[in-house]
Amino acid sequence: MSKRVLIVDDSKTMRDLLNFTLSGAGYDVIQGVDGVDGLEVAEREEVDVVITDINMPRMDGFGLIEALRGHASYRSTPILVLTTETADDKKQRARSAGATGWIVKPFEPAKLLSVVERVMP
Amino acid sequence: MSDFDEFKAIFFEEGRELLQAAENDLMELRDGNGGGDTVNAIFRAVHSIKGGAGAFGYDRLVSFAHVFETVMDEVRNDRLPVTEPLVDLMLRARDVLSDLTDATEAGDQIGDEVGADIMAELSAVLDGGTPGSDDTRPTNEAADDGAPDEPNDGIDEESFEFDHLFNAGPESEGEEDTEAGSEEANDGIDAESFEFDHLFAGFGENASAESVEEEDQADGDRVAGEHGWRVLFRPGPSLLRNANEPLALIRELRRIGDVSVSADISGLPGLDDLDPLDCSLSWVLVVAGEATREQIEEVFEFVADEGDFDVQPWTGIDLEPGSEFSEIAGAEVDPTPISAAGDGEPSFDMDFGPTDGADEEPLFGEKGEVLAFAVTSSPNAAGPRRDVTMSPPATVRAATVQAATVQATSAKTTPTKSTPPAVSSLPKPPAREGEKAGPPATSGQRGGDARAASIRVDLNKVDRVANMAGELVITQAMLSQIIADLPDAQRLALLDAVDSLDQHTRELQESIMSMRAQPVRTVFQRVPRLIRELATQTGKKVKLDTVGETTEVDTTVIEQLGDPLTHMIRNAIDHGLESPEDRIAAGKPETGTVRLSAEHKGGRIVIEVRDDGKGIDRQRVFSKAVEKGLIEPDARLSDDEIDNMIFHPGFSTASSVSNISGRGVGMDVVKKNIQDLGGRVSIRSTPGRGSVFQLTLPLTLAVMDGMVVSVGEETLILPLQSIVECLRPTHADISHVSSVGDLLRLRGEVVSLIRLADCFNIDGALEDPSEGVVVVVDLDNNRKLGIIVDDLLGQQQVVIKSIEENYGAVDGVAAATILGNGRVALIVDVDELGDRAPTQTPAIAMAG
Repeated sequence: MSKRVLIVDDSKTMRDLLNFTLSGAGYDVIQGVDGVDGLEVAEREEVDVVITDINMPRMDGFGLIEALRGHASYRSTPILVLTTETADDKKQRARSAGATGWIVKPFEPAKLLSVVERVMP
Repeated sequence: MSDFDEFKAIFFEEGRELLQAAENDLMELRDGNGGGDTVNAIFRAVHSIKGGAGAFGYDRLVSFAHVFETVMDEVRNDRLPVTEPLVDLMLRARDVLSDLTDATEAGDQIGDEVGADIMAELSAVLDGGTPGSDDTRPTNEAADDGAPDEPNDGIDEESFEFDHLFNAGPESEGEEDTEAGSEEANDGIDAESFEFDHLFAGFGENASAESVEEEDQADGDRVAGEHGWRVLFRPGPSLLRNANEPLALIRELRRIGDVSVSADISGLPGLDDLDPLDCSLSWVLVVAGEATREQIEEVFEFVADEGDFDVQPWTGIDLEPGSEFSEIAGAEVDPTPISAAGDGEPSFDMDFGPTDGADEEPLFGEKGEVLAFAVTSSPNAAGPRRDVTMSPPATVRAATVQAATVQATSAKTTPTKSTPPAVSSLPKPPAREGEKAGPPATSGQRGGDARAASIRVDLNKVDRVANMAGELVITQAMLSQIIADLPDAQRLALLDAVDSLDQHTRELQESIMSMRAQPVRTVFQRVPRLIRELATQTGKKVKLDTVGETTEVDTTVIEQLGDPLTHMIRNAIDHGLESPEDRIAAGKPETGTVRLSAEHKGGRIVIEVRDDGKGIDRQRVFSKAVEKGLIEPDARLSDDEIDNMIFHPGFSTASSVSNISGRGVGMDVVKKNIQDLGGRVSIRSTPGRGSVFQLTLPLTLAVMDGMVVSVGEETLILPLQSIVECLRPTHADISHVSSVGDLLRLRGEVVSLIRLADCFNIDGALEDPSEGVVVVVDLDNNRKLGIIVDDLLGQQQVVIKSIEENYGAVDGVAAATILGNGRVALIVDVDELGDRAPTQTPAIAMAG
């Protein structure tokens, strides 16, 4: 059974790229278009890894991560943030929200896949 | 990235459409016709382009679109009024965006001045200036705090854009970045670093980050490939909470090199203080091979900055465990004893649960040093998980921190098997009465051709080979022991060879054991005749059912099965089954049934003799027992306990000794014989319905899984399959009852305690049970016994050496073995120990 990744990003292009890269590598991919939508999808489906953007309308990435970590089923699911920003304070914010790691935009497909593989349970 | 070309094409096409629509919308606005929707549409268009551009790394587009988008955001949130000058600005901005998009698509070099002035205007608007007015034209003040006066037109546009980038960013860093920016701008930023900064939306730390990387790169190149790296890692508090997994990190390291892992468990608090989300462990990892420092740091990229992380070149020199963390942590590592001070609480509970027998090497160092060890599934794996509570090694209480060593090999871990082979799947040899032919036994023939060729082999020869294999296992264990103590370089070099040796030795031994395996049919074959004789003699009608005759067992066990089986069957027919008249009267079929079955269960062979007779007369048994002085008249025994009284020495159910069962050849003898073999016998009975004798024996008498314990200076072995749990008691759990001895309260049960040191008169053992370990064992009549030892040293499969052959029978000792360190260890006979404990059930004692 293939592993499933939830990608949450308000940019359709970004979602398409992630989908392309991840499903090309054999992962099953589902999508959310912003924090609120991502949370709904996460609650509905079972997911092995979550990748989320930070800046999104309605609920941003931090909000999503915090909400997910509040769910028993997502307590130990790897959550990666996709971000253009890698300033330390952003990393800290991501970490304290509960993020497992981060991927910098624009992403190298190989790097994305290696990170996903690394955290994949 | 050619993968993304298609997506890029889509992006540009859609971008063009969006920009066209945006132009129309802006026209509407300018004509005063647009509303909130229109503004929103323009916002979304710019936002979308920004998002896509960001995905592909089109930084110029991103930075421009960002400012534009921000302005649109302000407008749609009614924070900026829609004025004509503003719309005009937006139109111009849209044009720039369009130009930038086209240029990007075409792959043109985009000059830094493109869009610069518009960006400046947009930023100024965000700062509160009025679009179109002079405020928004580039001026010194707005742009350039603290920088020297610069003429309006002759402004260094690079620095200008730079500054406005910072100001326009969602979290502008303010003055300092501006200054840094202008400094760099004045140096003549080259396009690359500029883009770099764009990537980070104006946060200026990147330049330094890059140079550090380069440094590390050189470092990495210089020393990689010599021997490897030594990684010290102590995770920070968020590691486990954020779903980072140390095991996964180690797994990743294994992909890039051969990894030797040492875990330091000294930081683990007592169970009461343990928060499972705190990773209180730390590791020393040696990565041998061609891996670079960068690769290693990448594995730890998300966790290295929290907690302690250090990578040093490793040149194969012997590691000094424990000192590393003091080095990097700076302060003294706190050698807190694991158990909570003073109150004797049990120390931490490491619950491993059953494994699939994958990891079996003895994992203990010098005596007294307990290391993490894997619990293999016990032969009675059908039971509940084994909880293992262990004490910290005495050495941890010393001033230095000892690194507990978990032996882990590189990715080529060879799985080992813990149980003897599935003997039942071997080809069935032709069974000849009186001749014990050695069937061909190779694992490769499992389930294969049933007519495989066979040869006849003198059993003595097979026995000798089996003995040699046993010695080989011991020798190999010694070798492993020695190698574990070697310095890392040599040890790692030998690891593969030792692993291989280990596996081959085990396979060899298992093959040889399976050579001696025979189906129980050879024993069952005698039963029909026995039953016919008994039936005739007792005048009863008996039918025999047999199940599982193909179940295979080692020769040594087969030989021992005959007598007990005979006794059980005799008992069943003589005492169990009723006469035909009685049976009819009871509504049963005239012919009684004796069902004989054999099966493998959890590494043992279980043989049952089941009859549908009248069951045990408990009243009579009870009275008899009282009569013989075996129990007190007011004793309260469970049904099971009463039933099993028939195995008690000095007990005979027959009020008249029948010829068949014979005096003195009673169940107690049967039980003793079985126990001597490491087996169990018990009975279950339902009055009026029948009884079941159950006999369990190990599959082989040559090897056993043992728990190695220390008592004083001595090392002893307890049979693992008898062990229910191990724990460190508190004083509160123990009571002393004068007539009975020490008792342990265990989750509602009360268990008799004995000190192993007392049993064998060993000096120098711990006096206080709460400092040692209580090993709770199952005795055969459903009683438990708590055996107090000093410490648990580990588990291993031991080769059984008979004491009787080499010395003589010893009370309380079942056999002996030779440990990996060459020393002899006695294997304790727990049932005999149990017999020494008071016979009254503690429940009665407590009531009294």
